[in-house]
Amino acid sequence: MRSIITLTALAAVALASGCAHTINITPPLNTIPGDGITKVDKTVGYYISSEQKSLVVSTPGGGGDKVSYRPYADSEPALNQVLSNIYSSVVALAAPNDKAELESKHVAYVFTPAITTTSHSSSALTWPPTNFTVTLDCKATDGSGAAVWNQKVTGSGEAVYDDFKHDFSLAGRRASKDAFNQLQKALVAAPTLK
Amino acid sequence: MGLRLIRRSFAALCALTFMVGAQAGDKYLVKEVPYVEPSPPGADETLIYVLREKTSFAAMQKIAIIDNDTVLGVLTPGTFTYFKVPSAQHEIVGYISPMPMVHYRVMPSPGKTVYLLIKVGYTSGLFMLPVDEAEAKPLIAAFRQTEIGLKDQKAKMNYKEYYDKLFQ
Repeated sequence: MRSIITLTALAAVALASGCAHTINITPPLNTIPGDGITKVDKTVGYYISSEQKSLVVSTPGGGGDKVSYRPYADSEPALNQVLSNIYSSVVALAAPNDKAELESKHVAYVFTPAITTTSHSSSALTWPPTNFTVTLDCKATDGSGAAVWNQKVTGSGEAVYDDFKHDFSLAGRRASKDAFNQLQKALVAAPTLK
Repeated sequence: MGLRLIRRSFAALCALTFMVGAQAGDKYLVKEVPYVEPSPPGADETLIYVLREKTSFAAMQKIAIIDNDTVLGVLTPGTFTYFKVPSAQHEIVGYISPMPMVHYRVMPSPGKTVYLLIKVGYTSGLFMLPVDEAEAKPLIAAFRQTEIGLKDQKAKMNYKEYYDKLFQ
């Protein structure tokens, strides 16, 4: 009986080796606090296309395996959190430059992120990444569609086995948390976005 | 080639551990019950559903559902549980013996219902994520509700503090 279980487990693992494991890189929203920020009394919007939301990317994990995730879909709650920490109202937009929608919702600025990621692992035995980066290239336009602001930030996250055994996505979440906190700091410091 | 062999042996050992762990008894006396739709949350409450997707990976392994430091449910594949909590930050944890493995921080959501889905798979992932009502309702209709006989048991620690430290 034991040998049957062993062979079954070995076969299952052998078949699964080299494949992509799904992770989720949404950081816990309490890790993007808005403490001390005086809110700007404006409505702002953000635009993430449906193609971006459904985009799945694969990057290296450990032991020859890969990890796959949805960088835009996973990042949307964090982007919403950052903007909600700074502005009195935040709306998700169906289009980046729909003047009728912008006017009807009184949108002052539209934020459009471009997200790139990297990952790798220093472990040959476990698949979750030990190192992860999230780069946010975020631009803002005003109600007329004119570019008013642009900033690129890169967040990094590391995770060792003792930590990621409680959250296989940990390095990615830490990198995402770092990137969005940097973005928030940059937005707060931008005089053109008050 | 050598590394790959070591890695496969290590993973096989982990898989066997998972199987052996599954033999452990259910200390919280979980049982399936007919679904009773809860009343809407009060103005200062949040209603939280936690669903576990129906997959064969680790199917024999039960997942204890912990709110900060209190065990509120146990899930098997294709089951769900729900509970109301005062509106505040709540760390909802999925504990697969002997440790917590999935978690989600529910932010203050007065008067709202939050649906959390636990993904359980070797390639499809092992994490908890929020889903909207439109995605959750068909799952609730297809899944079975569970409840535990031993209610409000304290977990080994306060996982809200634990995960706060993990993200500092």
